[in-house]
Amino acid sequence: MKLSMIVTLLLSSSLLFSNSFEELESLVDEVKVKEEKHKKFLKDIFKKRMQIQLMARDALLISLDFEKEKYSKELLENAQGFDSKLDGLIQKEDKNKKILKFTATYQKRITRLSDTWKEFYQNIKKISKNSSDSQALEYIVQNNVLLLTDIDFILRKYNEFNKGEGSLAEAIKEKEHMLFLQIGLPRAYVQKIIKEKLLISKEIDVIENRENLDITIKLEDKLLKAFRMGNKTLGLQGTSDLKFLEKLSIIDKIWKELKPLFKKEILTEKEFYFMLEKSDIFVVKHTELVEFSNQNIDN
Amino acid sequence: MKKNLLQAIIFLLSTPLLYAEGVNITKDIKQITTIHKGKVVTIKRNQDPKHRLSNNFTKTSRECPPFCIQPMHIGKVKTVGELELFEFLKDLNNESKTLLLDVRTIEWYKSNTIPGSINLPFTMLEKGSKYIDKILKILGADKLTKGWDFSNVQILMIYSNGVWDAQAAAAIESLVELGYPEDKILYYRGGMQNWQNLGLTVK
Repeated sequence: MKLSMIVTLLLSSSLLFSNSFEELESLVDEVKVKEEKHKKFLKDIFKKRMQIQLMARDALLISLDFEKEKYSKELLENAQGFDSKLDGLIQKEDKNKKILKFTATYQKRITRLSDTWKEFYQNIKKISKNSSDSQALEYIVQNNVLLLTDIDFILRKYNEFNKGEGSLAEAIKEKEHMLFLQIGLPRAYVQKIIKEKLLISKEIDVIENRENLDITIKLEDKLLKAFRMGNKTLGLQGTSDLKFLEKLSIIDKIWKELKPLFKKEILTEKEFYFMLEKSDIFVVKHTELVEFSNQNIDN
Repeated sequence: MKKNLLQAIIFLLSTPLLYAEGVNITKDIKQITTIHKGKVVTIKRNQDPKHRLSNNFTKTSRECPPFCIQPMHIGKVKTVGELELFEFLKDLNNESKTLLLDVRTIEWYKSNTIPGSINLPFTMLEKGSKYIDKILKILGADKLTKGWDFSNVQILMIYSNGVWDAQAAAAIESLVELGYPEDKILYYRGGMQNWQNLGLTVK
């Protein structure tokens, strides 16, 4: 009798405990879902940033008649992916009243991005069918930077909007956020570097692209070092997480193989193939680092 | 029902055990048991005497602000250490009126936490948060025409990353400002830093 009373008491008190525990958990889950949506929006933008560089690179490779079939297929796949996601992104954000609070400038940029992309997409289709379509290539070369600028603008505004007024929460979130915002950049930089090298080899805006190439290589160096050691201007803290560092070492090793090739004026055919192959491996390995980083908070 | 059974099992498992050797919690306690996300979890120390931390909790120097050294006491809230936390976990298993709150932001909680805890980001308690009323009700407060009646609220043990992290202090200050009784709050100041330094189980 005594024992059954104890068990009953124990179970009934546990039930009460479970209820408040579960209620609190489901309330926090609501917030989690919102934060996940926010992160997904940012991840989509990061992906687009890289896809633009990748598309410009592939268009240039096609125009050089370099493995046309392979790169046309890749180009069209990337373009289709970009197109479907961009529409979704813009429509989704139109429904979001908070985003609509942005100024007319923001809306103008969204419209410009959408219009530039439509034209860009048409030219991608053209060059994937006809590698010698110089007008299509010219449009892609001239406008990929414009697309990037507009995407970066949206990203910046989105972050400004989500930033508060200097409270502790915002300060902590910002620290968490800085790595999240920059961790994917090296992938885009590698594609940008190859694009710039290809532009130089096609003798398009050679001086400007040489300067850009040097700058991008330096940025890549700085960023990879900052992930490890920290960098105040980039807002990165550095890390002592051994798993992160292990993954970063793999990236560093590939970068060390790629960098001399990126700096070399004229590449042999063998070196050129090696550069493309290694840069693809770089992207795969770096994506693993990005995913690891997104799951493990780093401060 | 499954959860209740688990809690009954824990009740039976939580008795201290005597161990002669090994990396024990105290001289007399090797491990304790609790529930985390519906599963029974055993908390013990890492048994490898050579084990070193390999994550970011090895770091000594974080930028301050925001990561500044926290005071030992926040108002009249009692500051506690690990042994008190273990006692609290036992109460958590047995009583309805206690909650172990990890008040760090969601990303931190996802990466590692103390078994038996629940995440309530301190941001949800900040002034102007739309969740405050709901949270207070869940914690057992009754809304009055003017203000709140806190006489039936839960006892909370609150922690964040440790002495270098203000998230726990911010949560406590917010709750106290809302009227939550200071004697119903406990502050585990050592937080995740101390917990992991001791090689204790994380989830």
